[in-house]
Amino acid sequence: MINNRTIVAWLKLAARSMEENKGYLTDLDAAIGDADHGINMERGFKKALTLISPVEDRDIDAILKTTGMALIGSVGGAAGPLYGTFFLDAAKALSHLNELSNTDLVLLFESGLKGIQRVGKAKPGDKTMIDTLQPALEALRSAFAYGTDLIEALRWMVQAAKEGMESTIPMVAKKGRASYLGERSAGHQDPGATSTYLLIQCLLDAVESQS
Amino acid sequence: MVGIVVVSHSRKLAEGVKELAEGMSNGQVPIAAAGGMEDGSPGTDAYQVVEAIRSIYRPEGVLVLADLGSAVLSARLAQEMLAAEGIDAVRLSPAPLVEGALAAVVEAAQGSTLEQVDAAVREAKYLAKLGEEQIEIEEEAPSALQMVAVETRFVLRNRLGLHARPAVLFAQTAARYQASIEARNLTRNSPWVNPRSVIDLLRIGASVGDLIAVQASGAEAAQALEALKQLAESGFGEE
Repeated sequence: MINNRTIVAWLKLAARSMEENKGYLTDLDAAIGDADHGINMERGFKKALTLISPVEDRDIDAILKTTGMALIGSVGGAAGPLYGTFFLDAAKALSHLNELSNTDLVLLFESGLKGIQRVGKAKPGDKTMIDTLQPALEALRSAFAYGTDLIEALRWMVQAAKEGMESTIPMVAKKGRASYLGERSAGHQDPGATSTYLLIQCLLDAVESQS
Repeated sequence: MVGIVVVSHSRKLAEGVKELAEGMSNGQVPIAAAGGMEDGSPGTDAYQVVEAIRSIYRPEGVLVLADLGSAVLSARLAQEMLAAEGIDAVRLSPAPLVEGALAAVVEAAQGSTLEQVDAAVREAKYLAKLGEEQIEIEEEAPSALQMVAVETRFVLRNRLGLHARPAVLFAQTAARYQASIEARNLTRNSPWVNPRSVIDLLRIGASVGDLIAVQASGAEAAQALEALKQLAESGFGEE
């Protein structure tokens, strides 16, 4: 079962992952963007950790909301409003919960994905974080429908996220700075799709470390 | 009066566009800037945009101009957050930042509605700033005012042509009168344009020595033409 401690553990792992992968994300971004995604994500999650420490014991929505606000105010690039909206909208959908059922977890990702689509206006296939998030959410849903337990469902989710991330390599970017490159954006993995994969991987790690 | 918010990755750029636009409107139009991160690095922060909009918000509305990428997303998110509080007369403009801000203040200073300012600013996207494409803007329709209008003509004296500053003065003067007014550059055979729109005026590509025709109809048509002619003959205060 995911509770507020799991969520805090997830965010701490995410901050560490963004720090460790700062160079990797920035290199991916250097190929098709403005070479700041790693730096921005590290800064954003570092800020989120500082801001969530006073609310760590509160309900899950308070933690998610604080994270969203921190990302919006500190990332700087397009990932700020996008991931920020993901967490804010997830928080809105899950008010006053201390634990998440399987259905709640699906709702978290569903609301977050809808928020990203609303603000970013990207569709699947546009070479964005959506290409990771959408298949990951579908995998989570079908895993639960199939009756798997939480950890197994998250493994399905991570696998789908990885495939989604890799599916962005041949795509031609339709959104963001990479879209200015047109056809030349093909052949590079999207940095946003990659950071989304890392975040999902961190959730699995957080749940595994607590079980 | 409609307010303008300028959003850029760079605080200096946002402030600079604000300064330029304020200079063009003698500070009449409320303008706020949002740009850069807390530590001074480039980036945008939707909360800063929220504060900028809030600082000049009025019931007539606010038009937001953003540079690129995250500036647009942050502006969209700020618009959404404010709408949730009932602050909903906020529009995002797709126009380029500098041309858009200039067009926006001129239009807003005339007391136009948010919708009108938005429409005027959209035109800024098609501004041929090297003056090379102005002929293909519109169909060569005869002037709608032709039958009842009075007309004046003048030769443009300004060495640099009808650039932004004289165009702003021209648009502001034209807006002051109860009259329908149109202008065209006879030398370049430009179409008739609306001289209350600074972008339209820039699009007729008027250089020094070009012959400009202005037509007007309505209650103050004659006064409007007289004022515009005088303005042009004074070199728009540049000599």
